[in-house]
Amino acid sequence: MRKRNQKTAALYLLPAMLMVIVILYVPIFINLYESLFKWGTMSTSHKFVGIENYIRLFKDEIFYVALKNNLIFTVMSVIFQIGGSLLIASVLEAKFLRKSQNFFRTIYFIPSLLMVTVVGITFKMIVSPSIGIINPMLELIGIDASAIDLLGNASSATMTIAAMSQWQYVGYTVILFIVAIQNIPAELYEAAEIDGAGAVRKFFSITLPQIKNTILINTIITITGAIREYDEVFVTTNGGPGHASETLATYLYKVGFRNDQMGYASAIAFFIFIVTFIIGLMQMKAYELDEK
Amino acid sequence: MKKRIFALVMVLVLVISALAACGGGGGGSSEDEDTITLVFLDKHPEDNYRGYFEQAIADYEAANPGIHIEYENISDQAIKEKLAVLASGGDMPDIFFAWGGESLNRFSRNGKCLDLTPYFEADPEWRDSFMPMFLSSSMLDGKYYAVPYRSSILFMLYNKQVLADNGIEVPTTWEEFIAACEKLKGVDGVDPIAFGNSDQWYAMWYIGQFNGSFVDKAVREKDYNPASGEFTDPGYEKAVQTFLDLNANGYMGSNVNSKDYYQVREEFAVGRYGFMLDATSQFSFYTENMTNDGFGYFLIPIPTGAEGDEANAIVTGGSENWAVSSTCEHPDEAVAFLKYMTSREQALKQTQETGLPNALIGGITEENADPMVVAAYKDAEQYTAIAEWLDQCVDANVANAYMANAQEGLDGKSAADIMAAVQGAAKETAEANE
Repeated sequence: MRKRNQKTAALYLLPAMLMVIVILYVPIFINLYESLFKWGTMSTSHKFVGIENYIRLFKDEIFYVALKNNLIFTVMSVIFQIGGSLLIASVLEAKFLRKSQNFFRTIYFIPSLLMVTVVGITFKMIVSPSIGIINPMLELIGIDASAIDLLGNASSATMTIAAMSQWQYVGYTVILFIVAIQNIPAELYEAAEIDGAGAVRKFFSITLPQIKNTILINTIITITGAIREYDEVFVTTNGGPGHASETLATYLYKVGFRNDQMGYASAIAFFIFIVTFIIGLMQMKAYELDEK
Repeated sequence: MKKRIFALVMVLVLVISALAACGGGGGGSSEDEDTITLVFLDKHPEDNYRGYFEQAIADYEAANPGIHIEYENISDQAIKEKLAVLASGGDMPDIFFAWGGESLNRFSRNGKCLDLTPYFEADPEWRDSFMPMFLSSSMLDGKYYAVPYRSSILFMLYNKQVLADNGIEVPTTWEEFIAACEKLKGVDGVDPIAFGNSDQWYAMWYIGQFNGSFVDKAVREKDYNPASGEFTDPGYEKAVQTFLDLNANGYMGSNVNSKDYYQVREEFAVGRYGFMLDATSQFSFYTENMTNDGFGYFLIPIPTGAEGDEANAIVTGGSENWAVSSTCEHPDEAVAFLKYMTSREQALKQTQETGLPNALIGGITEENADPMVVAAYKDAEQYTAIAEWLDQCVDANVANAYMANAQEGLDGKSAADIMAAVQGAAKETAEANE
């Protein structure tokens, strides 16, 4: 009977497995295979070049600019969407704020519901030196803003987009952390209070260990999202000025679909896959450690 | 047993529905009983243009009950990428928009476009109705791959009020132009030249024009060809330097990399700038917003020291075209539709209703076009050579190197470094095209 059930279960799993294999795993291997060739979408030639595309990748200056920018996105995202969100979530969960929590929760969450294009275009206008409000505000408080062009200067473009991204998504992780914090048994806090623990001690000794898994998952989601960063950059600067705010994903897109160098684009794509795959493995490892 | 059969049936249903979902979609022509559907991808989503094209299509469908045109209209930037994505998937629309030069050639060279030569040979009257300089931009190896429906030539525009307020005469030489810029630079609330490059392509209008002034025709022809491009002629660097100097000398105002063409032309219209480089196809915007008394135009002055053999004769411009996909299942019907769209009657209507200059010989007249456009086309007769848009007439890899680096140039990168990057991209492209 048990054997029969197992067979039925396997039968039910088959379509999903087939879908995952066809849609996910097969393209990964096709991508790896294609990255060993020099080819374009328009061209009929398909020349085997071995690892030449990978050698080119590691010699390409723009690749390192993109990698650095992805790192900026990652660090900023971890600081704000994990550290900052955790702080906001625990403050909102504090007794004195419980009554107004709904209001703040909604305020923080709304930006994450907006379309990236809407946010991007709005931010573009806000930070524009000629029609925006940031530069006049800086002038008001006595800062000379004549040389400040947040999205137009190479030195500030990436940080500005990263800041926009934090504004949009902090509220989302705040909600996830609030849900996790609410699942912590109240008795733990009561016992700690009886033992004389303060708010900070309760946060580090109860809240943090109890929501460790949520933190872990959010961190992984945030980091992999930062590595795949594309849409915000595309809408605001399109990787410019020059290639100053390029990320791996925008560069991959341009190489593939604008420059029509699909082999090289496949190599970039495989690099992104490897990085996100390693992070995924680390996540699974961390889970195992946690289980032990 | 029943349970097992039920499970098996469910699995089959799931697999079939999943496979059906995977195989769905797809463009191209399709037939619903007797109706032939042609997918048409175009780039006129703006309100003032879209209406005309939609009406023209509706009229055609009404006159040809067996034909249905599925019209998709997307923006300038979007269509460049969408066509590349569609081409990679092997699912080209039946009829699609394309600029001239290399941006069309790469489709033609790789067999994505239908050869229209037999259709032109069968109907020489149709072929001979187009202005030759615009029709030739769709030619590759002696064959025609597209039909031009819109033409455009660059001029330097000026805001009459701004020049009058500051006692500036319309410049006729480069020195006079620079002197006028210098004078406007000192005026409060006004910058000399309207320029915004956040989209990167606007810089290409200047550099493309200056390439024509500084570099000989034969050298340009060799370099603009993806298989032989080198861009080592010193004239290219001079062209970039001339453009960068306009910004470095403060003639283009500040923060040019965060403004775009559309923003600065609005500002030009309200008197924030004295000059603006723009094309005849856009004149209708200025006519609407400034009236013909508000703006004027003059031939782009030839930069000092420009020694290209066509310096005195060349202007940037080109045609916009429609091509038929080589995979179109109903090529005769698609070509018949294009014949209708580019017929004299429709072309005159297009210019009259949208302000978009057509590409027909004698197609721009006092009756259907704004007097300013008519005069501009008359003045353009002084030019004997046309330089295609730089971002379109070279290989995409070279064009993107030009655009990204020119944008960095506005942020401090030198002309020599910009050209070094372009040369690198050209070398890479030439190797790939060996």
